[in-house]
Amino acid sequence: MRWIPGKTSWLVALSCALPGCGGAPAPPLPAAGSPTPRQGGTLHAATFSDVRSLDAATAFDTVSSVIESLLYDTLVSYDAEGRLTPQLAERWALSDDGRRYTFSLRRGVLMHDGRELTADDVKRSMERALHPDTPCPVPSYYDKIEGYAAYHAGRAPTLSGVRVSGRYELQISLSSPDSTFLLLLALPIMAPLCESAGRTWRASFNLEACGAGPFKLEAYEAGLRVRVVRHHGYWKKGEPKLDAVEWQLGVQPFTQRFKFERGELDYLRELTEADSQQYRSSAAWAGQGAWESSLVTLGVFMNTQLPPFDDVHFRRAVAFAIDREQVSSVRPGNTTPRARMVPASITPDRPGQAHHRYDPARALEELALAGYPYDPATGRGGYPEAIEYLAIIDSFSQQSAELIQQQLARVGVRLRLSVVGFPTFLAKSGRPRTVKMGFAGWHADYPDPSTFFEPILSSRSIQEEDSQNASFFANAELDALLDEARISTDEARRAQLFERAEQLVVEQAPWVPVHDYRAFELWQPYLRGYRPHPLLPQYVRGAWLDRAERAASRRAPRTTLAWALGRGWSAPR
Amino acid sequence: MLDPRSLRRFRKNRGALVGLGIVVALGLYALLAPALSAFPPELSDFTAPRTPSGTLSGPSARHWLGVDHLYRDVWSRLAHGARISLGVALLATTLSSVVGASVGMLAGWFESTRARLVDTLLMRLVDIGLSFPYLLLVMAIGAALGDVTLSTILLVLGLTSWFGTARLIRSKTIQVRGLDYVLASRALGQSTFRLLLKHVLPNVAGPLIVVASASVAQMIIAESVLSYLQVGLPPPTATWGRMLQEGQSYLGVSPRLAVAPGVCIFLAVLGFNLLGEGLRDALDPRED
Repeated sequence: MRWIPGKTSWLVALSCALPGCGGAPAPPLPAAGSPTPRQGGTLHAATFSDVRSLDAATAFDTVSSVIESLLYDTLVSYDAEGRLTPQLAERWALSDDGRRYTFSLRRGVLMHDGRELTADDVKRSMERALHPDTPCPVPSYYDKIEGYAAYHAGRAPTLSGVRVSGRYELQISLSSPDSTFLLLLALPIMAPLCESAGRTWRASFNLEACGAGPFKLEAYEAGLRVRVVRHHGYWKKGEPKLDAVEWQLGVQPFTQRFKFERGELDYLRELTEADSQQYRSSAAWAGQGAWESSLVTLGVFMNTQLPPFDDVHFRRAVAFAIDREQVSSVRPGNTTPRARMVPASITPDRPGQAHHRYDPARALEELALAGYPYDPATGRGGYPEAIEYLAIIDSFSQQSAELIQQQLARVGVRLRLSVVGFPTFLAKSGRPRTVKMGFAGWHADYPDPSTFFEPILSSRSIQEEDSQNASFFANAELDALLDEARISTDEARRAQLFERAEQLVVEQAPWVPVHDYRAFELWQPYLRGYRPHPLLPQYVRGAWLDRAERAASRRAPRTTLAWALGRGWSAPR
Repeated sequence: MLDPRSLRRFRKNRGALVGLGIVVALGLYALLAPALSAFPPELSDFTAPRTPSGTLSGPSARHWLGVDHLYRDVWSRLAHGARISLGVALLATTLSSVVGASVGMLAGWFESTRARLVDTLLMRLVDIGLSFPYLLLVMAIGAALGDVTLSTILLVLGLTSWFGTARLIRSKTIQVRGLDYVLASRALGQSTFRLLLKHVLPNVAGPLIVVASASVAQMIIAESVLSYLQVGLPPPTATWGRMLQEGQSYLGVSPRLAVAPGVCIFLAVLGFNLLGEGLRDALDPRED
């Protein structure tokens, strides 16, 4: 059979091969501008990743926490401005010595199973989270609770510092004052769970998550979707407005954009850099997007338990060899170079602060001190083996890994990239003596510098499974600094202590910060009541949909291609 | 292998000549890859600018096909991708053909003999192999292996694709075994090994080449699928499948990143398929 290329197909192919062809975002789906919030509708969102767990006591990653924020309420939380506010606790009081909190619970709060929340549920859930058999990723956050050491070690049957003093009253005693304790109670780890969760952890609770949040779990299909539906007994009258929220899992960012333009997604966060720029510069989409707060530090961890990273000179060599400007240039809108652990949004930058720097000559000196001299002119020397570097598949961590691989090769350190899914990444990097180095990222759990040290660099956070301290870094001085900062209420002194902690990280280099990250979030005009929260990622609890508009938009799906063919190609508006 | 009449038939077949041309061109492109590109395929050139709208640096005198999202030269990556795709496809096909031909000849030779258990066992193995969807099998093995190297890809592709070849060669061997001169050689006491090598192999070589040509195209697709799904060679190795996967995110602003490897895969598959069909026609006496 003869094949004759049609002229049209060649023209299309040729035009699509030219830079700048297409790509302009389709116009947003219409909004009626209803003045009052409406009840009903399902909010659709997606992520490229999978959810590792929905058990409040164990899930501790940015993907899981988004779903958790819908399923669980905590004693305290944050208001729209990021200020600490009561949630399930109506009020609290702190004793004069700063060591005992008394919480009065709201009355009439119904859990997802229909039972009323009592102080017993709060105590049981706290004990469950800190039980020695529970793979809680950061139990050391709560080590100031009296009796923690004995309980977490399995030597005591109950957590003596948590005492039920009434059906709706709970007292928590601390071994010493803790300036971060209330912030820690806002984490889902301490969320009250239904009685069905039991007193000890079991893996199956992941599929039947049950708490006191505005939504309850309807379906969780690993790798496919999570669907939560409105909890009709939610204590806050009239909330939530949405009937359901459905997260599609494992959807490529490129696909997410087109689903968004077709109206299959109402909210979009995982945009490629190019798509993000297109939307940001589009007049038609003005007001339908915003940058989230940058509360993230991303970089590289080096496992101090394993050679060659058990040698501080080798770690420093790696730290000096990383060119942050180059890495950030790949995602100029989302990232800025970062050479300190704590993001500038939490500790503003000042001259004279300790920070890492790019210095290839120093990298070579440190490598020689580690016993692996390298001559860049001849390519002789360097570390003899390729070092495995763990990154997350299809993410910016993979792209940054490819750049860091080039940069380290220039000083004689060869990397072999291993890219895996997010859950596998978490499991492997959290296991002792398993992964030598890899991508590291940390999102603030609460607005305090300690969240960038305690869970990822203190010796207390080293665990046999799910260790957040992927460097397995144990440094007595750092531990002492963090201890003092925790009990201190003097802000100036705390700032000094955290500055010394930054200095230690520069000197010891178990973790090399490379850049921060902030996403540009987009939402359809008919998704109302949503703005990026200053602290909580993708906090869609207060959102609502105009159901009539949504139905109309679904009847007329649009694609960029259909729109472009109908309207003609144009530059971004 | 091609007698003058077959060669004449091949020359008259324009599709086959086009296929041969494409294959030769891609082969030269792969062989001359380092000389054709000034930039190493895995090295970023941060001097290549981006436009304010996020479009990656397009074709220029410095970068003939522009740069990708990590500022790497697309022309260079395509050329090295050609090496991997074609190299893997050819070597895996060779492995597959050797295994398939050996199994097919043994099974066919022992069919209807006292040692027919050999044939039965080998053919049931072939049946089991053919019952698995090929690409699914390759993907499953690729995903299970975790750390993948060039040799694992070769082994996976080569050792999962010989079943069809074995069945074809077996039927051909059964035909050849009954020919007079083969029977005469057997009567003269030649060993089975010599008979297979001297009389059977030359007779099954034609169909084997035809199957192998089509198999190369299948291997190119399989390797691309593995790379596209990120269960192939790890990054930053340049393969056409990986380039396609990476380029799809920029389809809106820089479609060339996906179009270029897509066209290469298309041409390579087309070329080997046309060549295979041409060889089949040329070796078929009924075409006269």
